[in-house]
Amino acid sequence: MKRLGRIVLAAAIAICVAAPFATAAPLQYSLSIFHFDIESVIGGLYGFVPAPGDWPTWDISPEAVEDMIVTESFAPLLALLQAHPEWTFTIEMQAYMVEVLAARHADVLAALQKLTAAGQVELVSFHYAGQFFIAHPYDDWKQSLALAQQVFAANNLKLSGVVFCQDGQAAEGIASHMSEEGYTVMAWPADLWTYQHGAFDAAPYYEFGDARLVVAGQSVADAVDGVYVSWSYMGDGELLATGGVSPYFPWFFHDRSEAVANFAAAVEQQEEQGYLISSIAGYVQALQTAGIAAAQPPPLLDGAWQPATTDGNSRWLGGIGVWAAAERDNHVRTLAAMAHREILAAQTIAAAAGLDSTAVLAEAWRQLALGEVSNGTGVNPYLGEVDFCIASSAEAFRIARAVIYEAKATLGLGGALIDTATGAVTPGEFAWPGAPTGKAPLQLTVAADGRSAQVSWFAESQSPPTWRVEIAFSASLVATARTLSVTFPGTGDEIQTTTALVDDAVQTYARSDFSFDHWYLPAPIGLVGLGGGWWVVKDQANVHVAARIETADSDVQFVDNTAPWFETITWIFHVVQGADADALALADRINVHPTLAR
Amino acid sequence: MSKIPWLLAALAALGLLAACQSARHHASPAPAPADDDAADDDSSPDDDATAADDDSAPPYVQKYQFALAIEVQFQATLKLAQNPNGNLTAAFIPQQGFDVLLAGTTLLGSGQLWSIPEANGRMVMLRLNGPAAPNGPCGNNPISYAVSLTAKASNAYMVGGLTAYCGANTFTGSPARVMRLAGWQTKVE
Repeated sequence: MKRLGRIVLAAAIAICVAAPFATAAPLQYSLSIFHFDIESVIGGLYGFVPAPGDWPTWDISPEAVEDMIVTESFAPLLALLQAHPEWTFTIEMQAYMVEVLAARHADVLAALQKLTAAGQVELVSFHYAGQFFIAHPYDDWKQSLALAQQVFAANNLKLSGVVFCQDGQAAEGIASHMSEEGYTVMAWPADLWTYQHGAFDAAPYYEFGDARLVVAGQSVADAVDGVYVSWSYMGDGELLATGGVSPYFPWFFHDRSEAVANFAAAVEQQEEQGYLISSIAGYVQALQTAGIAAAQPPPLLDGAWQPATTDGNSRWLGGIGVWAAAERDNHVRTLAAMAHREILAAQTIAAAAGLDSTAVLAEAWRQLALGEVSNGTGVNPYLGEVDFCIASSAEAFRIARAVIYEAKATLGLGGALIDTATGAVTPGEFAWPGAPTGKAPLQLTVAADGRSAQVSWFAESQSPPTWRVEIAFSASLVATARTLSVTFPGTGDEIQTTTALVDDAVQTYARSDFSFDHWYLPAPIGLVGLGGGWWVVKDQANVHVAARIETADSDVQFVDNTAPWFETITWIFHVVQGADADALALADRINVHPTLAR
Repeated sequence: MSKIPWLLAALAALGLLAACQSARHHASPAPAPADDDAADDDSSPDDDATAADDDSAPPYVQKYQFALAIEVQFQATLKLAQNPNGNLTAAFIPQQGFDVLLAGTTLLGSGQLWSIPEANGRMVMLRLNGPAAPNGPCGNNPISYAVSLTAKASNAYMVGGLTAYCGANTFTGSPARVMRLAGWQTKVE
């Protein structure tokens, strides 16, 4: 033993002496993100084939589509991992997918549990459903995440510290909530970055509040720090095993073993080149252990992946897709906003009445999460997806309104004013504030081919000066009359709005910081700056489409290309002249914590 | 979200053809049921008939009918009567069955027309009751159905859901299924 001890001691000394003079081995990592969206055809494919006759093997039920995604695309990926126990893949999914596995695919769930426990699956989830959460208030996401955490825990699945979101949504505001929720690394889609700033050489990682950020899908070749990253996969997980076929096409959506084999061969090749087939968190941990400094990211606006093909956030908030006749983005998003308000009002008045409505309203929040799913408005929603989201938000609204009526009865109230900010409930009836004014504070440009539009201004407050503008579009007799728009005049170089999940702070950016010529702001609480102390707030129960900004112009345009031509539509905006705090207070009062008359 | 371009193109062409023939866009809009807001000022003949109403017009029952698509491609009919007290009575007849719904069985119930004044919106809310669908998730239990149809202003095309809950008179908890409804409202008489 003494001799052995001497050998160990000598070896230790040799390592310590030699280390400062040795060249560190390069860090070579192969990373991946498989974004699985079991709601990618939310509600199934009933009525999808727009041809005469029945197509029962294509017009399939929600469960059939979900099962197909599990068996034809998800299970084969897990099998690949089982065959390569030294590999780790990053798999993102909404919690709803876990519920599907638990309900009908116990064997697949068991495999996922085992692979996750073994560290072969880095499991990522940031929401219960595949919501377009960057367009909705913080509360909606918070409720969704809490439910997601319950679902994963109940199914013995440990979530990793990585954030990647439905359709690659990303926002600077996410950083504000990562550490409190146990997240450490944000995976920001590379194309969402390059669309805003052009091509670039990615640093190994970046600062992101208290967390770190990696550019997902962007290779790294940092010879100075000796860091090399290759992405084996970054995209829709459903497409790998099926050879690129999406679940919209069940006749062709099948596990193609050659596709998986080809992918496996490519990963094996990376492995032979010295790359570690790793988790994202493992890669970041290695960077931190090596003492590599995180770089500073440029300013980044909220958005989703593939912005070049979706025109930024447009396709989810007013942009039109392939199934043009079916789309009604404003109906889907405004109904979700209405349900958000109704649930908050229900919580408020139930508390005032001493009713425990927690369990009942939990289902309302869950339905709202389903109603906010991105696929109801983008990228190419067909009628079934549009109507699914409306049905879910409508049910959320109904549940909440029933609670309100029960509480009103308990309180002995007829009409009630429910202040969701203060919790006050007082007798009263609905009335818009202010009076009509013939003097418009801003000159708007309204366009609606094939329709008439009536613009009416109302003075709501003098301190700070606040107005409401209602734009009433008539129905049309022309089926092509789908586009409505209004342009608010702006001034100055600054882009001002709020970022997702941070409803109480204005974010200010310089237009000159971005390389795009235009962008669509989701404006999750409706707030967009016009410059010079002027602000516009879209009243999201009436209009919830994206705000188009340009780098060469300061105006702000709201545009909906999906307006049903046969319907009358009224958009309502609020305009305030004042400081950031005034604008935030107005947006909060309108869209986040309103007072409802019920 | 990727799709196969040629398949999309073919389906889009079929979709365009189908859209031209779609009943969704060819039905004639009809007036909405009368408003039920509590702030009744009797400013129009269609104003509501709540208990607080001082309208001297004789009470009447207004009847409406909806030709609905259920779960996108199937058909159902909803018949509504708006009573003098503002409440609705309803009959819902699906032509297609699901695991929580029996084809051809008339579901009866009642409800209200809800006003959403700050959103210029309205919702038809109904609570219906139906028999068990033994092969479905509710087994031999009767099934309750919540209808929620939404629209803005007086637009006649309404979209929403038919949500099934296991058990009689059960309208909260975990739904057995949320089914999509969409269609045109027409005034019958």
